[in-house]
Amino acid sequence: MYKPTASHTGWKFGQIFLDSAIRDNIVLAQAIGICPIILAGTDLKSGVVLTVCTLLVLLPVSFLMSLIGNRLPNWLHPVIYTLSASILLTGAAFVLDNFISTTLYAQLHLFIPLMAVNTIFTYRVGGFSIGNRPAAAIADALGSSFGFGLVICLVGLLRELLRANTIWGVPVPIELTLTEAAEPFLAFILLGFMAAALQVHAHRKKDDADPAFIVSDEEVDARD
Amino acid sequence: MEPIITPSLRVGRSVISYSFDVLLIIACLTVYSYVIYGLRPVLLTLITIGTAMLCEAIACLLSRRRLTFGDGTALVTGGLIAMMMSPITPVWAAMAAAAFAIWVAKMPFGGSGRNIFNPAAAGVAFATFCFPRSVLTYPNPDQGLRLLWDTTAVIPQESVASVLKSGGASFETPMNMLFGNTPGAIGATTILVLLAGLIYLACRRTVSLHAFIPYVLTCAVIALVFPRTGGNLLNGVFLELTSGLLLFGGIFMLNDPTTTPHHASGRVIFGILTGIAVMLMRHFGRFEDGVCFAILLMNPLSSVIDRAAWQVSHFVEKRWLHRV
Repeated sequence: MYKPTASHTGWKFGQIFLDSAIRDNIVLAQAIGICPIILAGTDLKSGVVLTVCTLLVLLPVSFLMSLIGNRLPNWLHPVIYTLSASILLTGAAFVLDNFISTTLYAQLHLFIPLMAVNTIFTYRVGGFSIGNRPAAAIADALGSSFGFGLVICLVGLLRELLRANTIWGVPVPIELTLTEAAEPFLAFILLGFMAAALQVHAHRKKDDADPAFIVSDEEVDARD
Repeated sequence: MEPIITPSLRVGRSVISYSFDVLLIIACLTVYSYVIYGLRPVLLTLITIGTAMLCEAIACLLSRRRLTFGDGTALVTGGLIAMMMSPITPVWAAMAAAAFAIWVAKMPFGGSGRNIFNPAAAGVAFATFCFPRSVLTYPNPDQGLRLLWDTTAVIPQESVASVLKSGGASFETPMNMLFGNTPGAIGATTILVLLAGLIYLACRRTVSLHAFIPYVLTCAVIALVFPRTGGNLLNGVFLELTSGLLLFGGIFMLNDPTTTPHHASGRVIFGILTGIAVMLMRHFGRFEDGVCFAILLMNPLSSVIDRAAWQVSHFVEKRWLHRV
């Protein structure tokens, strides 16, 4: 369970945003919301649609729950945020189907309603927004959506490029075609690489801060 | 919180002797594949081993560590990958498998002795997923393969594992299965050589049979209870055990000292669970054989299984044996 730290309880809007988006990336560091990325993030368009859906739902629900706070009993919280997320997502699905793109809706019709019970909501709304101030909740919702969108768009972009040699439907002159890129395994491999890159970045920062953290090979061997 | 005990390789002579023994068996399998197919599998094996060593050297240089060729685990990884490839696998697919094994499954986790997943299994699984059409087509054993690049004249054959997967009846005789006279991977079809290798490795105490025997028995029991082919039940079990990578994986990857439990009872449990996973993947999986995937699935559990087995045996010893 994610615990808000002392800095979060203050009004450090940008810090919370950056933490949720990059340093404690919701997907790569907290391993939340992997399912839509693996299954639906096969092209850039679906990635963007799911990011917008996440933002549209997470932002108002987080705000609402931070306003409600602990005034209601605990058992009522999941009911409220799941119900309100479902209502918002029903509206989002209607708009997507009727005004934006029917084919895109046909592709994503299963995943948009599923976002309502996604762990992104249960963790960020249930774990962070309740008990934090509205501004902090909004910063966290923005950061989480941004972090999720970054990962799903990158994965969708790379998979679309490998699978169909297109970006946003526009053909790109690349010879390499890997039709298996739409399978879940490639998304898992990509997520693994991205999570590893984030860890390397985090460790490098830690190394800079604390020279004693660096362990030489001889020390490691001696420890074994 | 206690630190998690990861399975680690004993440093020193035992690593080198393990690598030497396994490489000896790989060399025997390569010679046998030369007899069956011609020169191509030998060249493919050498290229894969070379790629694995090159990738390890690059990884060592990049992370500014000492070169770790000395223990020979890179050679073993490359050799095992080559043995699990089809004789007509494109060279780049085998090289990609070796590169994935070293750069993704081995070196980022800290090199030999510290890796969580079996590098060879990871490399083959990667190649199977990415290039299934290139990796899972096999030539007829009688066909000579002299050229490395030219495999266009080869008529692809269905392996026994693939026939079983599609629910058809295989008419391979037991003799053909034992002598490797069937379409399949380079080193995994010659059952007699594999069994001789197992006896050698077991006598040298390089491998223990604690995981292998429960694994094979579990697979046999599942094949007996849920047969995939009509006709004679025992023949079906025999085909199930001798087809695909089942025995090869059981001998080499189930006995990898780094990624499998150390404790004897832990190894028994590990073998049984891997057998169940292999048969589940054969029944419900997408590919004809799931040995690499099953072993990869079980690898992260090995430290958990090891610890649980140790705790149970410790408890039993303390509770009942010391009281007497």
